[in-house]
Amino acid sequence: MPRLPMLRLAVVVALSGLSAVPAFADVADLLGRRITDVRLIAGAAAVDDAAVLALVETRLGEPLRMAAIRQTIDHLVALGRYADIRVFGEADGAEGVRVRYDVVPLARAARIVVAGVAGGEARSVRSDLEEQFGAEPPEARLPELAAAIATRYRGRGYPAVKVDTHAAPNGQPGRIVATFTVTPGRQTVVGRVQVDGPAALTTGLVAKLGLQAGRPLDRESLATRTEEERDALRAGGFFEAMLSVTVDEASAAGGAADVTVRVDPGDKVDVVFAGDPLPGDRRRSLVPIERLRSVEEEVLEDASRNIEQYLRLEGYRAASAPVARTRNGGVLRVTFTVSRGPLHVVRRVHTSGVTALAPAELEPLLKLRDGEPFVEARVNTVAAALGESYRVRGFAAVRVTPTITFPAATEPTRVPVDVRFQVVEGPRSMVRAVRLEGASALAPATLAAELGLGAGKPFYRPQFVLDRETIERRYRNAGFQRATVTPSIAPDPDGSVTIVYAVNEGPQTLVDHVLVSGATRTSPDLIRREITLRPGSPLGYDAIIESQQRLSALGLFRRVRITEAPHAGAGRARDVLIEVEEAPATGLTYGGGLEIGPFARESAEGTATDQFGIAPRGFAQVTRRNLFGKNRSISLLASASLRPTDPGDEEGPDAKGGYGLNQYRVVSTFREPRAFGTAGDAQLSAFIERGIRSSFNFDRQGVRADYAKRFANRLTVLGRYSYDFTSLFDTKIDVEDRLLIDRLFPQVRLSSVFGSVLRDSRDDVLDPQRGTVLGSDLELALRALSSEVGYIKSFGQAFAYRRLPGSRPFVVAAGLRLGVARGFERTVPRVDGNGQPVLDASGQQAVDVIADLPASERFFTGGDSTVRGFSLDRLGSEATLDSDGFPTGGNALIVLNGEVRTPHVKGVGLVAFVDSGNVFRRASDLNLGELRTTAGLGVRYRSPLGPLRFDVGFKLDQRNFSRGSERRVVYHLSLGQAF
Amino acid sequence: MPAWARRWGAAALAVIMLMPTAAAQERPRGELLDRTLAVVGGAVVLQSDAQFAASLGLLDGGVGPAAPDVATKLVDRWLMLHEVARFSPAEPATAAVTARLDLVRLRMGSVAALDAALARSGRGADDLDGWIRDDLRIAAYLDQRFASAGAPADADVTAWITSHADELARTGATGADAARVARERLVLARRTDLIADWLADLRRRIEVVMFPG
Repeated sequence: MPRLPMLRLAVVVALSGLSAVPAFADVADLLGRRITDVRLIAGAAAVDDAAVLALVETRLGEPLRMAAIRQTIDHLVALGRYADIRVFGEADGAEGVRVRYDVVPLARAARIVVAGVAGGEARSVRSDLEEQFGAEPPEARLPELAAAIATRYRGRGYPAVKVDTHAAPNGQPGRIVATFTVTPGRQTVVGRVQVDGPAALTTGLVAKLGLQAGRPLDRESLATRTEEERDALRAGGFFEAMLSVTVDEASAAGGAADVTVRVDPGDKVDVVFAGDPLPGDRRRSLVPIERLRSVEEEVLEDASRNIEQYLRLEGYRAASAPVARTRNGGVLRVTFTVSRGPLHVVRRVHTSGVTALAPAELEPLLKLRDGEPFVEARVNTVAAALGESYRVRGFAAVRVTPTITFPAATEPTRVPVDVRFQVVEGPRSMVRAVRLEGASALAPATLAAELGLGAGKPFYRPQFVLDRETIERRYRNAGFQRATVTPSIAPDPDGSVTIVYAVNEGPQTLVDHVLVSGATRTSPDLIRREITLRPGSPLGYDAIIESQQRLSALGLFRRVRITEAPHAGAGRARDVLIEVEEAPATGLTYGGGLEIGPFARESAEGTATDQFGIAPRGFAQVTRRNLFGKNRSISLLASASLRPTDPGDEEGPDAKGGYGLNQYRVVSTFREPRAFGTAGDAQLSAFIERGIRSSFNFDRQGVRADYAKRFANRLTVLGRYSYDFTSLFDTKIDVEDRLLIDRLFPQVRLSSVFGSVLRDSRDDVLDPQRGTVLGSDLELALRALSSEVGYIKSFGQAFAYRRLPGSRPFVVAAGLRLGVARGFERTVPRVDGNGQPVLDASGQQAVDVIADLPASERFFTGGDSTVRGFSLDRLGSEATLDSDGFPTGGNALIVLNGEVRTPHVKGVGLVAFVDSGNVFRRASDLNLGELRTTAGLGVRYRSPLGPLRFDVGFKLDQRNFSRGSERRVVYHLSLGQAF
Repeated sequence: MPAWARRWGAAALAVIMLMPTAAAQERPRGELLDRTLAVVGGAVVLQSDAQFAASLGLLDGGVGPAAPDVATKLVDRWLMLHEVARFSPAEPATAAVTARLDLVRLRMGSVAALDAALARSGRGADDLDGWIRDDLRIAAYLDQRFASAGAPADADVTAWITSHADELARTGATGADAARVARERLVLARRTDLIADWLADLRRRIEVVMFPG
């Protein structure tokens, strides 16, 4: 043993070396000491993010507790920024302790690159990885991703595939680019191929399976092709064909795999229907042999039953369709012999034993009518409905038994049936009392008030079950996630029942921290402000769902996920983790289309006429969202339309009009949600627009400031200040018919305030079937606000939508729009063509008094969304149409609409409508007797864009003008419902 | 002492002398208080969890298949608990909870020892109670879900008895007793396999990241 002394020396020295390491206190010795220093170290740098430091529960001056360390780790991991966390403690003097958290930032692969293979294949690999591991797998799982790629390639015949993994930062904190370089190696090729099976079915099969010797053997493709060829065989009538492909693995290891293909076609199947006829379009669905690719006994028996069931639903109660199989020369013949038997028809329906309920209460349920085909299933449905009607009223033990009798038949093919529903009502159970036992966190009285069953109400078991769920849901929403409710019923001697819900509340879970992950541009404060979950509040299900909806509604995120961050401990508080994926800050939307329909034009004679035209139109909007991380946005919208134009009076009699960019709008908007610290949204807009109306065109430039607030009951209140300049041009109204205000103010400056209240409870904005819209506006323009003219204008609207009962319901829609306005009088000094004052008879300067609204603010009506027998704005009275039929507009408007919409069949529905309305010169002229009515029909097509609409409106009272007459029929093509 | 022995001895001495110095340089300053062992579906498994479970014997004879280390056992337990929670399991019987608590107290020897172990792992009595309740929930779920492990075939019983003849001879089990033992062990093995397959499926569905020490 000559080496032992030296080794002993080495051990001694080593021990002396160990003694040089500072002595460490035991963990238990550190617990309870006062914390003198806390640091978070990521890599070599200290973390100074206040949001992160706020999650540290080991605070200076407090005694060190393991629970606080655990909570801190929980918070930091839940935050989604850190993964591996180690916590160290070091004694500081006799009573202190320094705490350090070494955190390793969590890296996720924001981008996956697959190199070494073609682009399409790389995309396919990435797609598979995303499906299997999620959009952003953590760095720690990259080896699993590499293994998945290798498995994929081995399955495709690359046994020696090699996948190298490389991770590199991508510039964003916590995000990496993962690159997988695939070296597939040599692919196994097809060796010898042996084919077993009938020559008629195997000819060419090897080529179809891609199994030519020497070609690469792709096992995945081979499996797919094998399945396709097997399906092709079955589609050819060989419903039980088997096709198998076996690869000899021993040979595959050598690089060339021998393959054996076996085809067992089974019998060819021929399906025959004998006996009574069966509709051709029902045969395949009733006898699904082709679809199921099987002629097994069970499938045939099911098909036989399907036929019988189908005929019984048609009233052939004794229908039969036995099936027989016969084999002959490799063909399996399957024969269904259909026998309908006589048609059974309901002759009489009545009830017996009904005493507690009035016949009128049961009558709506007796949906069997004399003379209709007798269907036993319908009789049972009615019996069940009668029974349910009793049970709702507390007759829990009711029995309803249908009895069927067959009076003597007068025709051999038609059997009358009498149906009697024998009712045994049983005793009625009323609820004596509802008791909630064990409920302390939630007030039993409050809970009981939310239940459907209560003292004095009939006992109904389904409601009893629902009430239990209601109680549980209330507890879940109050954070009692493990609350259970055990219901029981105690019968009382008098037949009433006492309901007891035994509640085991369990622990209440409260929100600890609200952690936000994934928000790089959005302020976490904005997110926390939007949600309903607050630290210390109960962690309830409804609160999570509502918070998620609110965040999604912001439009800032592509994806929002709110989860309860799981804690390792069993404490009451849980962190709530909000994970968001931000949408791009800048969005560009654009679109285009064609406006097709009648446009008001000026005829060669100068009269108003409707001409069918096509107007291309388009828009583009660029939006910068989430400015300063506060959900503010700024957008620029530009839209334009190319429309045929008429020459205006200003252009002289020889002008021919044109076809150009004559309708456009450019608007820039800044939006501030929750403005001024309120729940309302503010919006500032500046706009330039050119618009075309039937009797004039206009240019307008202006600015607007809006403030809108939505209330919970679908109510929106809006306030607006508007300042704009409007100038008219291409006026087609005869000079003598023009209002004084239009002659004196062809360009007018308006400054107005506007208020609106709108309640919209429609179920669908584009195609409503239920709900109402109620709205009222008031606008006030004042010279005191530097408006050149003053007016007051109000507009009210009411729409109602109802779905009629039935399995394919019709929808009835009705609407009323009413507008009245009044101009404030002002005097305007009269001047001649040279701008010189015009004097009156007394030598004073003459003045004109105007009391109208400018043309751009007057009411017009007619068109695809108002009165459809008229084209846009063309409806008016004697006082609001000039001698050529061009509308001048008025101070009062009324529009009434009524419409019936049929159910859609294959996406197409029909509409019948009646529209009525008119425009009046003054509000005092408003007269229901002067309404003009049109009726019409329309077609609706449910296109991917929304309901496409084509309406044809007919005037019921066509009128003539001095130099022409109105068109009787007007067409409209548009999107969405008319109202 | 031969020259080769002196050379090797000197080399070994140099290596050994350098080792503690290197260790002293790389060792973080301070005592490791806690660290993440794994993150399972967003939930953290900590070293203090492992200490808690190990010191109180909560994983001995616990639920689930045998795992090579405490961290994997805890990951499996969390996976099972996550799945069980989806079905709103019933509260375990108070008697069963009490019995298990008593067992832990007995194992720890004294109240002080139990309290110290709890404090060392940052847990309280409520946590212990919750852990035991969760264990019972998991056990109830496994009993319900894997009750159909099925009775083994007679041939399998015979084969097991033959292959475990020595073990049976040591315990003295023969005849009907041997068949009963064989059936129990076969059912247990089958159940363990089924649970292992189920856990493997859960691991595929839920992200598990382990952090080696």
